[in-house]
Amino acid sequence: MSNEVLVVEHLRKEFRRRRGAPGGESQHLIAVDDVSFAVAPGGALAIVGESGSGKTTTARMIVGLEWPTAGSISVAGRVRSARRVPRRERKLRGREIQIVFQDPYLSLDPRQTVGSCLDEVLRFHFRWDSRTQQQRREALLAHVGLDARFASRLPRSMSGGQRQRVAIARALAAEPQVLVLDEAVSALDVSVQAQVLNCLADLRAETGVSYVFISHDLSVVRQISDDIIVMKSGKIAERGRTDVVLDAPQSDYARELLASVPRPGWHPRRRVVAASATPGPEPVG
Amino acid sequence: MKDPLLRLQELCLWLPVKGGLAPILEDVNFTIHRGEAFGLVGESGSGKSMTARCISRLLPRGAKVTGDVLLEGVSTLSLTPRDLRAVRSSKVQIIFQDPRAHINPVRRVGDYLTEVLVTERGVEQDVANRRAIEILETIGVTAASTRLAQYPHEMSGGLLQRIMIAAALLVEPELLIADEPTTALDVTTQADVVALLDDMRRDRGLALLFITHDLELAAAICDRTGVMYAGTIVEVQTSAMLHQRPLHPYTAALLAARPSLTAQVRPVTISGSPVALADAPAGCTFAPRCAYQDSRCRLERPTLREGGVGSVACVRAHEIASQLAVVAESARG
Repeated sequence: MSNEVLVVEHLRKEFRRRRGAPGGESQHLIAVDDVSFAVAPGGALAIVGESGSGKTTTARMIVGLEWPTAGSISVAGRVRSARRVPRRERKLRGREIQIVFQDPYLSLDPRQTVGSCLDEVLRFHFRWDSRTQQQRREALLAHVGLDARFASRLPRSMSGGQRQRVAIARALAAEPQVLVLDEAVSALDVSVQAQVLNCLADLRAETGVSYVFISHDLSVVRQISDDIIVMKSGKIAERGRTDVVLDAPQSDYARELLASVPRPGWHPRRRVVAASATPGPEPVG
Repeated sequence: MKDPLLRLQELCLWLPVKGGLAPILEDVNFTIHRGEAFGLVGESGSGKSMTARCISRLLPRGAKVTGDVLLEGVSTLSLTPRDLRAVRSSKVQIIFQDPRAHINPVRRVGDYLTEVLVTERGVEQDVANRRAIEILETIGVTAASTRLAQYPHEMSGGLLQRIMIAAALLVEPELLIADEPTTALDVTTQADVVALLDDMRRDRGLALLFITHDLELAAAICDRTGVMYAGTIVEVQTSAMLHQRPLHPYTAALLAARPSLTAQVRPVTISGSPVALADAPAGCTFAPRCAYQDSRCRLERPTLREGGVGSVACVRAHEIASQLAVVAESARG
């Protein structure tokens, strides 16, 4: 197991949540409960589940945006130990793992050109002369299927799919070993989503980067991942090879998810118990 | 043949932009019969939502509309404000994608549900409340009476979407317009909402205009589906046949671009990106991205022509029909 690029063991995250009136008793919401997995170099793991299943919290803990309540994460063989770390360590971590978010309209600076956005990352991590840096910048753009002229463009002059490819190029600029993609193609139109999916498949084949792919879309996951984890209420409901799980799901929950995917001739029946069976206020989001 | 419930005739729409009007819709034609579910699919910016908004005239100030929208033979475009209000509160109801943006956050859910009944129809408040509770129970909302006293922020998105559906059904409309009603929902909740809409259609003879970007979803719900691209309808036919034998290259390309659930196959991309009608070329709007385009496609914009099985706006439709069927077949895997 020592050659795995990402190892997550017994990960747990609790959030304190106040109920009722302000100052009332607080209670713990367990967002992630005993989650363990590993990703091999060049591998692609999908984490699927519905909203509130803990998949995004897991992603945020892996990249260090949230701190686990318990459990361990190690990336590229180094355990993420201290909560506060010096700049040098943060820089090292940036070379190990990067994340791409769902909405490129929010994750790119609207006033920064694409070229400057990539240069910023390249300057921070590498000391290259300007010629090498420019070559690297163009290579990054080429990797995601954009030509060199895009360097001078601002996000507003680009389509959603082009922006998301810039976000992917920016994440790859630090040459990470693991790329976390949190619903990275969910907001894209079908024709554009196909372009970005193919781009991601090619990048993995060319660079050997590993993916942790967070999604609710089982069809997308089928195309992009080798292994899959199905999460429900913070726990892993099922795991295995993506094709095996999607062709013959063993858990009731995975079966239910698959049965809910629309297709021609699909006639869903209303579940007897509605999604909101418990009266009274329920958690939002 | 019966008169359709809704008929859109050569509907064109322009919206005000800096320095003039931008074309948004061009020659949109379709009909919906009573009890029928009609799907409108397309990518963002293709004009699906604006088409829906034209029907109940929910348009921004300065919008210019030509053509006609006939609801039971009456043009909604020329209604007086008073008659329009009556249509909006009784015959046509719209469910939007984001219930949180369309339900007043500072009013109780009960007020939102009963507003039309109480203010427009003069129903007593407690009678209206009882009917609201009844309908919430029909659509599977538990503890319905408690719900009426709650505020939108106390509910999840899926529950709030049901509230919006309940509000639409309470006035017993003839036509329900559902604009991406399930896009923001989880798949299992989506299945619930779809099943619910289907039941309502069967039980009440409700006609449904279902707007979505998801071809599979449209196929599952709708009898017929229209495909929109750059403000025009490029194809209309039965949902089942649309998947087996698409008539327009764009429909076939959309089917091939959708990642498969059952096999790992590289999705076939459509070159370029979707355009708005204002930026579309002179000929066929899809021509620059189309794998089958030839010189004729650039000359003149094709209109939607009635064929034996459906309607299509493509000059090469006959020549390429068999090729498109093959594309659709391989997309199904």
